[in-house]
Amino acid sequence: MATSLPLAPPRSGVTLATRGHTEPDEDAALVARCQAGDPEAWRLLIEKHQRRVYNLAANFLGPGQEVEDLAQEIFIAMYRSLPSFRGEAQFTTWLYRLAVNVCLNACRRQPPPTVPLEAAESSLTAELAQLADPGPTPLQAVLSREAAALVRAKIAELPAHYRLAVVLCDLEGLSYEEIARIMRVSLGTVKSRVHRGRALLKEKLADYFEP
Amino acid sequence: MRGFTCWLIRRRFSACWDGTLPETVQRTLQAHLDTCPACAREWHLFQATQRALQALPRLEPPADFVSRVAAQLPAMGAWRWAWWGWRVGLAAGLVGLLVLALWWPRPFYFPSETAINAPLLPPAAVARVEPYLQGEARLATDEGTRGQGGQEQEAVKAGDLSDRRRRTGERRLKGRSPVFCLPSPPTPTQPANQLTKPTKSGKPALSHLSRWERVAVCLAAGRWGEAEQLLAAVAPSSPEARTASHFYLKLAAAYRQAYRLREAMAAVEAAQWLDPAARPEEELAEVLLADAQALWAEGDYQAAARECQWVLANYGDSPTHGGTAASLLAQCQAAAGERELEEAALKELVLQWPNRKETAEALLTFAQRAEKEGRTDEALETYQTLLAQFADEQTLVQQGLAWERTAVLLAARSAPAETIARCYREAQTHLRRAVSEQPDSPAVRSGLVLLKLGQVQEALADTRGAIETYVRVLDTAAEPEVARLAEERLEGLI
Repeated sequence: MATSLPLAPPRSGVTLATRGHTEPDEDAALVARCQAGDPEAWRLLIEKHQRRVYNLAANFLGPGQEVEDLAQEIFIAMYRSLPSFRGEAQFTTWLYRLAVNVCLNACRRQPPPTVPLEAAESSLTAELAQLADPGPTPLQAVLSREAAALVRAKIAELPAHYRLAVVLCDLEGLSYEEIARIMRVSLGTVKSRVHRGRALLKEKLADYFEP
Repeated sequence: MRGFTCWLIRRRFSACWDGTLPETVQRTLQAHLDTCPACAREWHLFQATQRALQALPRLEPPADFVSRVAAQLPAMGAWRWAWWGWRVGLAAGLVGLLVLALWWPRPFYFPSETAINAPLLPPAAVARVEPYLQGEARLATDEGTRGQGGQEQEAVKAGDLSDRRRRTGERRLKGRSPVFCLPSPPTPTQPANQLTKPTKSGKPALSHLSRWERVAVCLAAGRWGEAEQLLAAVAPSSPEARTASHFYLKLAAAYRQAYRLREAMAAVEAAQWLDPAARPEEELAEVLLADAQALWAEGDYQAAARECQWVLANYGDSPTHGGTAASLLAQCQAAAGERELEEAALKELVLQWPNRKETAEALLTFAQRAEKEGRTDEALETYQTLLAQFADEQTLVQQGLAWERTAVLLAARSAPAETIARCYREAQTHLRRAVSEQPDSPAVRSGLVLLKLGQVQEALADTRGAIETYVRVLDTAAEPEVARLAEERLEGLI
């Protein structure tokens, strides 16, 4: 049983910009064109951020849900709110904030049901168990579609605020400071939510990691 | 304390994974994982979960996603109007509400906190009440009771608790308040004044004043029982509840000044019953904690614990009083032999005030007592907890002592020599830093830290260093007992 510390690189200094998530100048130029009423700029802006928004929606809702509808709703909210964007924050931060609000609203309207996964579970145990006892290059592993669906389903079972914190931190790779700005809460609250979200997720996945 | 360290260690997994733990805490965590299979399993599961998240593949949106989103968007020219439209509507609505609120006559009006504070009463009522207050003040001065009140306040400041209690008890028997004393009966030389004309009982009649005017007069005159009776008639649902709650807080402050703490606590509870947002004054917490310390010193642990619990319930979020109350509560529970309650108080301390010096002190005290009582497993766990929790400069003494005791306990268990030596070296580093960086702390001034440093140097076979340290203890120690112990060690070495 491996118990050496730590296995992850330090998070300090990891921000949206340093991870190559965005190019602020390019975003600013596109936003200015959108605000001037350029239809082509809208298309480019959506195209540029579609993966980020789509993945956030998918990880928030879990598999089998109306991911596309939620992603579209986020972009429509962006369309309606863009005139209020003054460039005081990075565009990506602003977009995440908007997306988080839309996700929480969607959650209030209709909490996502638990996805039935009994059929797939037997084949997942071995794959996830391998992650629990990794080989020499564990970080390069990519889960199969079924295993990923299981992990996403378990994430979707977390309470909404913990789920968002875990998704933004561990799946979107944002720094705690960035998440605090997006969720408009203190740094301590973000750390607490991430910690609790991770701990809850660990409990939910524990059965699949047991040898 | 079983499981407490594990609970704390598991709370650090997230920070450890992020790589944000200080190096010393990380070493402690690693040491714990090496010896605790349950935590090692939890860490293993935590890592596996995080790796599963890292291995989640990114999803690709459908190829026609952009065109479908574009088709959903309203006409490009309309978006500005859509944006301005609802904002203009909202602004118009807000202006309308503001006009309505200003125009609306009295029913919505409720005196704000400032309005209640000063002036406490409307000007006309103040004019009617003023002669009463002047009469009371003069009469009180004539009897010389204000002077006694002044002495009382001096005693409170000086912290002479037992004396203060004794004198307050005497006054209470007489039914007199030390600060606001209403003379009874009034002196015959009192000038005739219809307003201050005494009744048969010797107290001025207040019947023609309104309720709040009467409460104000009673408060100022020390007729607190009457004030309470007047306030007791107010129900929580009534529109006057908030005003009554405010007066209850004033009453609590008056009781606190008179050192009638039970009455003060009851008044605060009544205020909160009427208005859950009522917040008692900070001074009450200070006096209660001082009283709890006095009770603890007198051996009345239950009463001290009750006062600490009350402070925790009412000032739990206060950065100063909350931690002190929880720390003292843990000591009280320990002294009363309530181990489970003490552990609960310690957990509260670690959770709510993780970085406070009091928390480190409480953990150290707990561990030292456990060690003295032969519960060495528990003691060792608690020392580890302390070392996992604290790595700051404010708790150098506590860290140094915890490292030293860890080394001693590990040596008794025949742990590897290298591990024991490492613990002693850590102890030496922390104690040396404490001596040089915190020369004014009580533990350093007493000589205890230097004495421990000498013992650590002895254990590390640094005889010369130990002798120098013990000589320094003899030169500087404020505690004769510590100096005596240093002398004994020195003689043994020489």
